[in-house]
Amino acid sequence: MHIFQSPGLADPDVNEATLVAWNAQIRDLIDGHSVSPFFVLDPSDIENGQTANSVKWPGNPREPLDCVGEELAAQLSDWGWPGRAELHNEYLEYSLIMRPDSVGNVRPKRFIATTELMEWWRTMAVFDLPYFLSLVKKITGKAYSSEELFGISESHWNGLGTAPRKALFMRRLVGNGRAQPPEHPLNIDHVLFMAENINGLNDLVFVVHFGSFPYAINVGGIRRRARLEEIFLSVDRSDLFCRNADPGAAQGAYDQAYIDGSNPPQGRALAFADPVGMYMRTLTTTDLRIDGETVPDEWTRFSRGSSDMPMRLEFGPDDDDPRFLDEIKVGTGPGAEVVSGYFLAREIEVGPLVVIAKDARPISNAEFKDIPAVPPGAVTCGLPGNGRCQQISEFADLFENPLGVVPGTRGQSNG
Amino acid sequence: MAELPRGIYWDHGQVPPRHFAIAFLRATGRPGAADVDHALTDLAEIWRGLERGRVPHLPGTSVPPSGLTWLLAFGRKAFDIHGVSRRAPRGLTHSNVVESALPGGGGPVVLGSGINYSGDVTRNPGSEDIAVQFVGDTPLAVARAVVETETYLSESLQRLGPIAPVQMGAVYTGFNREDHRSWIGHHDGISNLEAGVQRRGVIEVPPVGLALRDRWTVAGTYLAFMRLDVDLSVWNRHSRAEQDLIVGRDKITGCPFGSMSTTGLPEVVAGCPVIGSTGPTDPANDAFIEPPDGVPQVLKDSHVQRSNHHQDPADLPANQRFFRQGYEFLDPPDGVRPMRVGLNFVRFQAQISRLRDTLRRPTWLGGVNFGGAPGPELIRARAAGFYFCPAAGVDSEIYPGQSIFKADAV
Repeated sequence: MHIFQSPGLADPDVNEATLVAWNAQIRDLIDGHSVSPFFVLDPSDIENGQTANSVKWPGNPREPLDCVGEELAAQLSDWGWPGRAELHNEYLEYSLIMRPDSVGNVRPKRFIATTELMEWWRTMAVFDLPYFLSLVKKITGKAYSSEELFGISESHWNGLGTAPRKALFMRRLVGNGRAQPPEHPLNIDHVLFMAENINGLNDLVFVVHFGSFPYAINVGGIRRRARLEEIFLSVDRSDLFCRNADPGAAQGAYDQAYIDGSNPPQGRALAFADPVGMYMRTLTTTDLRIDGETVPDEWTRFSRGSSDMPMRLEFGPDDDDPRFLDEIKVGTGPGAEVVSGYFLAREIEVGPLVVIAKDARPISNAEFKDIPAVPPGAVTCGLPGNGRCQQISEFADLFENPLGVVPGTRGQSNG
Repeated sequence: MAELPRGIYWDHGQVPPRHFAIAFLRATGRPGAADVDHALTDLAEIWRGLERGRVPHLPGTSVPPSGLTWLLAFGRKAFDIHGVSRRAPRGLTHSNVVESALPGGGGPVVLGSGINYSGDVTRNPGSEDIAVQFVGDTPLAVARAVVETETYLSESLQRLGPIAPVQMGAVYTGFNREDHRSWIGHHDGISNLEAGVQRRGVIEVPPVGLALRDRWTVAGTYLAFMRLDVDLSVWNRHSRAEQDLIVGRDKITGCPFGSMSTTGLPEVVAGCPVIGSTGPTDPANDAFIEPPDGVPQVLKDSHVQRSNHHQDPADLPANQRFFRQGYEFLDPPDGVRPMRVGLNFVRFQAQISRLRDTLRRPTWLGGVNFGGAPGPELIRARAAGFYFCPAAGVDSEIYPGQSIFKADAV
């Protein structure tokens, strides 16, 4: 009997070996961290558990917003694979599907987003290749062979150990960031799962576990709850503070580990709900207009998960419809702007499902994690001197000057 | 040094004065920026005088200032005035607008929200070029500020005729309540942000993530206003249990609900209220100020759960926190018009998008009028507007935001 089913309950027909391996991964990741007084593996161990409402955040990348402002953030984030690989780190990755219009201009037709965990897709491929291939065909509409995706036959694949299969999957379908795209474009073209390292199960478990301790500021024996920036600074991870996802997940856990206002201090048990996954919790399209009308309901197509746990979204007209995504405007009136992928990502709230106990218990003295106090505002996100902002500025330079041509140098590259 | 303007009570020990007025000013005819600047310069001098107890037509006398402060705010239309030196901040443009009322009356205040204009509202009086908030300790203090403003504008009309560059539109007044309740009887505003750094972080436009043209907005804030009628006849048709479920708190104690009984009634969080405490604002009940997370869906649909998803840190834009500084109102019946009660909903935030998202998103207040499932309208808007309040303390400016109208005030 497994603790966790397939993410989103999307793959009930996957084989037993896949589920065994998936549960083993989750258990190993959680067990690989120190014991938390409140974070447990099995949600069924939590008495009178209820799903928390607070562990979610908008899917748009926050770092470019802080560093370079909204307009450029949208342009960079919408910039195909480079933008996705460089910036989509809030547990949602998306792409704009381009099509030629009636006069041959290539324009954005649809928006596709995924919150599917790479580790699940890898586990399916490693332990149930036939199911994996059939799933790829179902989603993409195209049958891919093992030879095409992995460069080897199914029988050859089956002859490999799990470690080489994993390595092949990573090289062929995942890659390693912007500089090293996957060798096969399956996931680039079809946005099947999240490819960014940071959007992985490993990081999700890390940040929830990290937040699940009763951090406190102890001054002369009197404790107060820590602010989130104090928590991140205590482990020198101010970079995590400047996103949507990590603060959302860590704070969600911390709010249970040390309940605000509780006196004496109390905490509640928490666990990932079954099934573990990252889900699109809401999408708001009420102010999107095309030709002055609200966009058709059928343009919002969730899939890959049960109705309250979707992990895939296709938004926009299908190929038979002559309209394009860039005809959709946000709001009404002369100032209404054309919708962007970045805007749509912002309208999607994403997050895991977390179960929390109904009843709290006192925090024992030994369970507290006393950390240093820091003055409010110790972390200011988006400052130009910030390392991540510098990276994003350089990326923006590349976007604005892709050939590396410096104006005034007679077309010579500065590379 | 630029800092948050006065009139927003965000810091420790600051308590908003009892009385409120908001006056909407419109630029009429085709005034230029210089005309508007001239009017605002004169008005700022009048308002500063009133803050010190000096009344324009009573030279040599002084009156009790009664804690009067004024707060100037600019709507998107102000940036369309001929000759202005600044473009509208991005926070007031494209999707961050209130909708116009429908020609036949009504219509949503924000697309996707469940709050509509009242059926008799065919034009939104809350969407003008300029808004000015007056708050003070007495009704006279704020009333006098409104009267002196109108007096100046009327005299401008006589002086400059036939159309003065700035005229007063609607004015709304209100008061806050010492019982921390609202007209529906339930407690209100007890789950506001913690004073000090937390409030400031939510309110103040930070120096990052701004387009070049918006750098001047640092240390300012966005003001959202709605004049909301509360239909007590609709409310009183609900049973006590229904009312409690819509709100998410017990009507008498203010305790938040955390579970449902087997008979389908909401149950308050265990331990609330603390025995011997005087009410929800008693520090003994601090643990119960915030409604709990992890509650059944019927409680997640309540007003307090929808409007606050318990997400911290508060200044993270994604968490959609905002600072409320609202005032109740009573429009007594006048023999023709019935009594109206309601709320001057006033909130401050670093990004207007926070309010829009709160009003539009399905698990927040999207499509819902107040709380619970979509249903009868409890609240309707009579006016609404989004404004930007420039920072105070900019050396070259006579009034906050003067650089909008006067390039050399930059």
